[in-house]
Amino acid sequence: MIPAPVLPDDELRLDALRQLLILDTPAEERFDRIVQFAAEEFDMPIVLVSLVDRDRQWFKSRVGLQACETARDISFCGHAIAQPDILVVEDAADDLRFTDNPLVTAAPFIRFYAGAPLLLASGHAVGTLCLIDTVPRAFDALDRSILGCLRQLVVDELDRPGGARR
Amino acid sequence: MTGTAAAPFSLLLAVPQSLLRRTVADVARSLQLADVHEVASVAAAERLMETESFDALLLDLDAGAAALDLLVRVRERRTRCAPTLPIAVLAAVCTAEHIARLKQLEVRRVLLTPFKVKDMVTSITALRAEPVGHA
Repeated sequence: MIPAPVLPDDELRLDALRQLLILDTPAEERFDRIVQFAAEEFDMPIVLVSLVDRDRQWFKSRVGLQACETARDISFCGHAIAQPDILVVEDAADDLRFTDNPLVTAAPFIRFYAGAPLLLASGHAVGTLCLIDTVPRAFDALDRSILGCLRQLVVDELDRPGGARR
Repeated sequence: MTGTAAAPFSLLLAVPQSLLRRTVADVARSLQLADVHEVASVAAAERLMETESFDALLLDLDAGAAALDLLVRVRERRTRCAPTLPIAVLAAVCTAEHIARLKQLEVRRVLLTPFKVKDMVTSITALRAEPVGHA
């Protein structure tokens, strides 16, 4: 397993995340409806809005997962925020970065992952909108486009006046 | 070739579910499939079609008789759109009787629940392949 990287500008990224005043806040319908919509659109058992904190990823919204956070070093989303584009892992069992990851070898037994970085206007990726399945899957260009548009709706909510940070 | 840029393919998207409508519109725009005009009701679609012409219509039939009446108006040249306007519809329920009526109205595609963005965008691509002249 390759641990999720700590980004060179991680302190600035964490500042941007904390300025949202959203970590450890209650669930909100404005995020939950997007996550539920994504789960139905992609027939995906697990969908998350994951925010990558210093040592953990914390889930602002989730479908299909009981846990409200996991360690950052084993997180797929920690890898996803390190790249500008959507990270797609069609079969984690065949990917050296993840094949022996405890999230793959034990519950929730991730095999498929697609994570779209939540890129704020400041340029910092604070987390992802991600899709997870327990079986390998393909993900085509149209799927990427749909996930990218749903990701932007999440970013719009993070930026929206009157949101949790105001 | 005339040397002038072709007008973008204009689509009227009449769907009440805001998240579905917005996502379909965003995806179609991001893929440069269409110049999408969004409305949330049949009444709003009807008003727009009295003053503007479109190259295709994607309409939710949830409004029932009013939605079917709009299709009749199109085919009877009572809107600004061509009577041959390519049309796709969303239908929560579709009986044999409904299908027969939609065939009569030359509806090209019927999408049943659950409505998926991917299916709707694929339908827009199919409607694009059937260009019509404006009325």
